[in-house]
Amino acid sequence: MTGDLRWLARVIVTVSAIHSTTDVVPRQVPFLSVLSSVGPDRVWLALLHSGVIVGSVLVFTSLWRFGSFIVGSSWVAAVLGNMPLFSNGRLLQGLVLVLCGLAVTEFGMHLVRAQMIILYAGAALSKTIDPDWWNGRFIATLWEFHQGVRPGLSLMWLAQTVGILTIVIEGAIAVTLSLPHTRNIGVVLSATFHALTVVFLSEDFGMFSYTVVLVTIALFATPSMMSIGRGRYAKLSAMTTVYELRPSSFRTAPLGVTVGKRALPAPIAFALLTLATAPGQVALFGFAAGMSRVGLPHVRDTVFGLFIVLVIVVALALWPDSTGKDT
Amino acid sequence: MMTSRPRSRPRKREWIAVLLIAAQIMGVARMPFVRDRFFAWSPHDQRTDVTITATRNGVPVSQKAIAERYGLPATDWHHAGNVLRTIEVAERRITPSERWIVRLVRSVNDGPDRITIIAIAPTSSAASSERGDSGAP
Repeated sequence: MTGDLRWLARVIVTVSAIHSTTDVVPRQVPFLSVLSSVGPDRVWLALLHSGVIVGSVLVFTSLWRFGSFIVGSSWVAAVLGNMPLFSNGRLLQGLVLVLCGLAVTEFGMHLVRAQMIILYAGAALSKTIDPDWWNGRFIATLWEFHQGVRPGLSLMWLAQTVGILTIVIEGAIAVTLSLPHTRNIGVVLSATFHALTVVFLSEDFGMFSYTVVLVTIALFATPSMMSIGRGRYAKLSAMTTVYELRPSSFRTAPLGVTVGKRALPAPIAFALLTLATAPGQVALFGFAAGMSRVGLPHVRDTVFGLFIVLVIVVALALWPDSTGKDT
Repeated sequence: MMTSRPRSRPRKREWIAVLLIAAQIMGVARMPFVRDRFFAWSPHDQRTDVTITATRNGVPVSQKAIAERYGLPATDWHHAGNVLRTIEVAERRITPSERWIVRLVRSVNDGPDRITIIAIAPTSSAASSERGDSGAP
């Protein structure tokens, strides 16, 4: 139940630290003019940094809700303080943490879920009313940015198809996550969509992809999701493995592992996660730079995508049995 | 180990969360009627290349001063409406005598250049900008 939110907040804070997205941007043309009066810039930055650091510590204590609220508020404030560098990813991770901090009941959990539905509905609507998403021009621009070559006229149909498919998928995710009986479909669509985006674009948009996938799996996947992974191909599917490692499903999982034997105290678990993945990330970026240099960017992209899947798998593997650890 | 069932009635603090969600719904709903894409979960759905020049009392303003006032990158994955809105808001907050006349050349998704002149009237704090879009210069 709300124990899920506690772990969600802890995973987001930890992955942010691993991903080095804990910094805050300086103040520049704030959305609210009153934010200009919060002392000089160094005071503003000091306040935000203090909020992130203190909140990140508190989130691993019994005051986790307060900590989550403080970290999230700091990131949201950073977004509100800088209009020219407005960031979707930073706003999302901040809002999810704020909502986790405010949620006490099942109603509060529904609000965190509502956050994700609004996200996809907004993204789909924006693209729907933008002609460049229908004629392929935006995808062609993105293609040129990542591949260095703009697709010729003979390939514009592909760019157009990808653009339209993106609109359809984002709209479908918003709808399927909204309906009780199709939530699992929404989870699969969301995880697959973002994994493919990360692999093909070699771009995770800061914390955006991590946050979206973590929240959808943590709060939308139902026990019936397990039925997808049963059978001889269960262990061959990386995404299915993610779902099966979700501890709330352990008791019925073919893997036959109980969460009680695997759960570690939260600080130790997250320290291990940080230590395990930080050198991996350093090695990954070194490897990625090498692959780009020898003209193999696709190898780099694939490894980058696999790394993200690994982080999510490890994070979810450490997830506790939420029914027994609520506070 | 304590086991507790979730409370069914919303708590006071959760109404703050309701306000946050409601504000976002408004942010999405206003999208078709406004130019910018702030708080609508879609600000990065365009690539916008911008060249900004400005004059103050007819005298050109340096690029360094422009960067310090607006903080806008020359190339960014931001909606063009966000760029325009940022400049307008920055100008409105400046003392009228310090305001500039801004000339913005922007290209969206590698499309043709469009020119916008932003001049906030010094006697009014309302949205009284004169804007003229045209084709490539």
